[in-house]
Amino acid sequence: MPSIVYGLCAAASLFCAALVLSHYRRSGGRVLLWVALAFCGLVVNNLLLFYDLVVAPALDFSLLRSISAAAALVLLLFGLIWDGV
Amino acid sequence: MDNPLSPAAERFLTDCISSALQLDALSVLTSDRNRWWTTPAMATALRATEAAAAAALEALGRSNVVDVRVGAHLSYRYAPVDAALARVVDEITDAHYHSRDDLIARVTGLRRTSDAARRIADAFRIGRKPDA
Amino acid sequence: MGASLNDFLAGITVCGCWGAAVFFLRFWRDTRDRLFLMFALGLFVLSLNWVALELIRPVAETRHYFYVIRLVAFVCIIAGIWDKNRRR
Repeated sequence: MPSIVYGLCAAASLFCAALVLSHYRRSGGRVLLWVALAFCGLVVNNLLLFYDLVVAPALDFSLLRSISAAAALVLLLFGLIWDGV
Repeated sequence: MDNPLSPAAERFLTDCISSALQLDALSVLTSDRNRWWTTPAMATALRATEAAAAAALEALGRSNVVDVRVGAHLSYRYAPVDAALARVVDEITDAHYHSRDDLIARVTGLRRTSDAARRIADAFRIGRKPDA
Repeated sequence: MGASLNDFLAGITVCGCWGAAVFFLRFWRDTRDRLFLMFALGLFVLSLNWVALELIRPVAETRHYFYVIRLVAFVCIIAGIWDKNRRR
């Protein structure tokens, strides 16, 4: 059950990242780059979560997970403020 | 505008129309529904560059309101995919005829405030990308 | 230091979620595109994941239940994408 939840979250964020990156490569628009980077950050966060809690629970990746999540949302917010209006 | 657009027309404007030139092209297409328009002919009718006319026609093509024919030039003819879309286009072209400035102001105003929103929304359209 | 840094970063993440959600709410207001409403909802629900983990601090055996909140957030986002493409 936990690995399914974490895996689905990673897959969903990867799907969104791929959609936005693909559109950014074709059409440009810097706001898309920020959104894509944010989703990539969430992919990293979800993969770290999977690795941390399922594959190697004896190790502690909590700080890396926190950094990746914070970085993802800061990038998203920055991009929306800087290029979103 | 004196008569507000229906929700379906509003949605069509938001989703499919991003420039005044597209509105003008749509109006030209619907004025003669049996005619095939090449890009140079449309550019002449719109008094615009061929590149701008081509972009407007391609955008309308993505919105399921035109048929496309491949020849020496791409040709476009007004052909909405269903009756509901035809009604929406009729409503918009009617608004274009009676309240052109208001309609264009709305489209360009939408674009100005929502260019980023439109880009993000377009990124999540699957299967109908600008270039193929 | 490590625990308080994690807490600090969690706070940044939650605020980032809320701020971004407000932007998507504004996009929804301007365009009436339901995609943005679902994104705003998804981001808000995502923030609840971190809020819940910070406030409750579950033990390892039950921690995965809290991550179902995260899954719900992504379901909202995917639902928004599906809804957008379904309408066409």
